[in-house]
Amino acid sequence: MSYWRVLGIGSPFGDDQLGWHLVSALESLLGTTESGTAAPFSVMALDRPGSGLIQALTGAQGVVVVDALQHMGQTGRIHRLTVADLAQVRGCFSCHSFGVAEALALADELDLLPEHLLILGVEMSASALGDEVSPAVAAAVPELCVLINQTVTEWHSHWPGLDREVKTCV
Amino acid sequence: MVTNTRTVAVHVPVLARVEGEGALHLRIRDSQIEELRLEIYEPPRLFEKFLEGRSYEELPELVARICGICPVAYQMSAINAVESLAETDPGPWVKAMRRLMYYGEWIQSHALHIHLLAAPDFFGYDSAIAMAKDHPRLVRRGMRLQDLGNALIRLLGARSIHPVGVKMGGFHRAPALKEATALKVQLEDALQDAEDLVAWAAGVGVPARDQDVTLLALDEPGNYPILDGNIASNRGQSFAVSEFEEHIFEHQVAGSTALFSLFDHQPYLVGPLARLNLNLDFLPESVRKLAVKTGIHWPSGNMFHSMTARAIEICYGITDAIRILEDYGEPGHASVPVRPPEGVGYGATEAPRGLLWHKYELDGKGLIRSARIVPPTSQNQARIEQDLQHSLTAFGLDRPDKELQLHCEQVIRNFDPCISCATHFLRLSTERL
Repeated sequence: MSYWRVLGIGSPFGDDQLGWHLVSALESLLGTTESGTAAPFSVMALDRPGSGLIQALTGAQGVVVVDALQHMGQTGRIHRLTVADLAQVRGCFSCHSFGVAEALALADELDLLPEHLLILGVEMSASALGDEVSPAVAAAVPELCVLINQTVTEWHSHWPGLDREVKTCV
Repeated sequence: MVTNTRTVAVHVPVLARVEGEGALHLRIRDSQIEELRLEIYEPPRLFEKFLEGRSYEELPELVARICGICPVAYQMSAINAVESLAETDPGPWVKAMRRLMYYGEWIQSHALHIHLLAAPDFFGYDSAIAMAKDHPRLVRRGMRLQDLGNALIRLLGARSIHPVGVKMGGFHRAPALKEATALKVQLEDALQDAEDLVAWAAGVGVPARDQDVTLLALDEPGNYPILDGNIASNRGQSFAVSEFEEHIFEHQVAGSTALFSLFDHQPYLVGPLARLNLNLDFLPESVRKLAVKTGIHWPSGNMFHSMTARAIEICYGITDAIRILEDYGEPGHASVPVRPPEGVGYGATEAPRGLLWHKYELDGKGLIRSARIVPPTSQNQARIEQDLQHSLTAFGLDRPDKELQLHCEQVIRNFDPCISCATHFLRLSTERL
């Protein structure tokens, strides 16, 4: 698995599909990478990973974690979050009391967080869970792709010798 | 000042660190429990109705979706039911691989429960995250074991959550010898972790809570039970899986969306402690010795020994998985054909939390006319309430509310309830009147 990873977390419902839509979009972009050129990062779509998120982080140098956020007033708005930010919402939306916030907090305690970590959250619409992703959330995907490419490229500049092997796992 | 006329009501509106959503309501009047009610309010999932009209061949993918922690158990019980109707013998390779995959689920589920759900209680932490600050090696060991269990599931299931490698009659593909050998090395490396875990779990101070409990588990000839056999109790009863409905009665309880089960009109226990109590002598000698060395007198009537029972089952799973992989060879075919006739098939296997029973009625085209699934948590619910009555009285009903609440949560967590499966999380309310 690559040292550089993008983890899109989602479910099959409404705007919570964001993480999976992002992974699809990034896979399409990576698929158009010039042949013979290694892709800059690997992508994984995850479904309620729980403590399994720690396993997905293990061995990585830089990871971008993307998930949908509860509506806070502006559907589609992108938030840069820290592990400390997530601590304020721990336990709210995980059925086993162990969701993304808890997994990242535990990884932090166990010194298992990667050197570089970017957590991106996108506000869901207030009505949230239908079949389709709302236009405002869908519109955030291209912006996320650009932001992620810029971020990973910047991380790479600090670690030019690290492998860029690409592996996709859903 | 506490007096004996105090009446107390404790309400735990959401019980954390259990799987699913539920609540506990406790009313104490004059130092006596007046009312104790486990309320399961997670919406019913109506899964059995979703299955109607679908082909028996779709069952492994469909029932895996019932639970993200124990999908293999659902797949295996469903397959077991259909193959028993079809009188299919999948052969020794498939049987061994099913056992191997199932061990993966026991190992990951038990490791998750011990380290992330149960252990913090015993050391005064409110979460595994808080415990990890002071006990990082312990939590890391748990994560390693959980990862190992997941790797074992992936070997045969392609992915650890809702695996897709399983089909009626066997598997979609056989793992390559190279993959199996690499995993065997990982298992051998993890054995010391598992043995240390057993000693650690047995060394955790727990309350003395011996109870005379009816136990049920599969009675798999010559083996520690997981995939096969009649259903047997510690009271001498034994009956076929197809006779389950003659002995186990489910009933609706007000305030709960999960059904309560009784065995011959009595609450009963399924799960790791029941399995171990009934089958200690079927453990490999090295694991049996380790279990005896804990100093716990098996069979144990103390539900607080469930954590040690889970640790022993992790050790057993790893030990037997190594044995299975010693002789691993790639088969000509990873599955056999399954052609069930019209009729009713029954299947039961030992999920991490205990006996998981399935029944399917198929028509002549192999479409499901009706389905019935009885998960371990609904079988344990009546026993949880009974245990709470006993344990709270022994603990002392005049204790402060916060202590009562923690004790209730510990007692409930001993069962590792998966309320999502049974509705099918827990909230506690206590009233002292």
